[in-house]
Amino acid sequence: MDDQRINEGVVSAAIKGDREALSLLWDDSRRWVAAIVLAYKPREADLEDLLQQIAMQLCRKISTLDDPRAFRGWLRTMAINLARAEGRKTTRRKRSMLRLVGMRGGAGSPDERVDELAQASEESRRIYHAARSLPAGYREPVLLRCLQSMSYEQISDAMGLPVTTIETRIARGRRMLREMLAQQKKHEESQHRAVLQGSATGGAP
Amino acid sequence: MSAENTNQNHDDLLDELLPDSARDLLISRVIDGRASTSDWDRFRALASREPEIWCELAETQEQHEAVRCELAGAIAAADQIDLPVGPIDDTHTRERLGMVGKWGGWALAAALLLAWSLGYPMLPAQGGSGNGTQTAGLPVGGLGGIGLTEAEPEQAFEQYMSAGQKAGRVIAEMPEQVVVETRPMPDGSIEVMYLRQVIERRVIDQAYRQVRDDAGNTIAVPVRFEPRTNNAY
Repeated sequence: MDDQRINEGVVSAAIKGDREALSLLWDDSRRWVAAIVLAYKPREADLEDLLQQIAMQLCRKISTLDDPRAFRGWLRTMAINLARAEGRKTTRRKRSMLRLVGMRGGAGSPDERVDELAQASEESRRIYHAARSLPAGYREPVLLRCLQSMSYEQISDAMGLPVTTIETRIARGRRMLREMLAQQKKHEESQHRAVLQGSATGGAP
Repeated sequence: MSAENTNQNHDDLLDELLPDSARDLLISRVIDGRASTSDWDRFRALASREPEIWCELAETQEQHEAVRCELAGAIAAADQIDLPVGPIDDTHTRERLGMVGKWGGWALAAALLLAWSLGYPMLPAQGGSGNGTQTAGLPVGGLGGIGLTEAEPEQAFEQYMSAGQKAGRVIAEMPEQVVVETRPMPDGSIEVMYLRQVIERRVIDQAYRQVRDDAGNTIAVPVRFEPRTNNAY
């Protein structure tokens, strides 16, 4: 509750043009905003670019916010809109740059390092990607809940939904994830079995 | 306190929900540390009838941890994003970008933008900067005893490469050259205009990313990096 009041005070100050208050708000929000962006952005979109756009919009539009209590929901809507808009753009500046200088996929390229990291925690990545493919209404609260700083109440505040709904969605989202992963595993096992059978019969098509 | 209240309100719902949903809620509450005494009683009662709920709990906990770790890594970039420091006058940048855009596309535009941002010349000034002994900010090493003003373009380029590499300012030339335009000449020969790309390095105190806001203004956004220690390599 105290935390809430402090936040409202900070939001009010930021609305009135207090630069320090605005920085404080951003420091406090950028991680959960990043999680929301990850829940909605297309895979190829750059998280940093989107966060910079959100930071800019926050600076430009904070004065238009009427109710300080609506800050989280307002910022969330802004983040989702930008993440979705990014999905409509196809050209990625970074990729173009790398292609131009002929570095994409080359030895020691960032892609390779990412691959190495991916191999190191393949299973976690698989789970994470599965979580990101949950239906939007479930993946957002599930991801937000994975941020230690986000309580159910804060998630409810940001999403504009009752806490009970958030709790139910998180619980169901987790079940969906469990089932999705179990299904994936089953599918992989049956494929593996098919390969083994194929090689046992001499690899005949 | 509010979490407890919410749990109590939701407890009424718990028994009315479908068996699967009640089960999911119990598992979720245990994972999130929100399970009340009555939740634990329900959980134990359920587990005595269906022991596989322990496996579901373990599995869900494991998946939650995996997503938490991956997400923490994925959003770490957020800590580097600060609020913009304010609008900057971008008239010159636009003029330069427009001009170079005709020549070499993004690569060249980015190179000149970098030059503009860093405030140092990337191309040697015509006729030298007074004494004719500097190229791209590097001293001429007098390779082969040839002064830069007398050198052929290829020799001058070689000098620039060697001196730059020696000074740690030039890393290498990209092996591929980008053809910008090809056209036939009256004497039957062919004129080829191409881009040679050299990778240079420079150590700076503060880096900025230039991004456009929705009104088209260029904004400089400071980029923060964590200092790297030798152990990081």
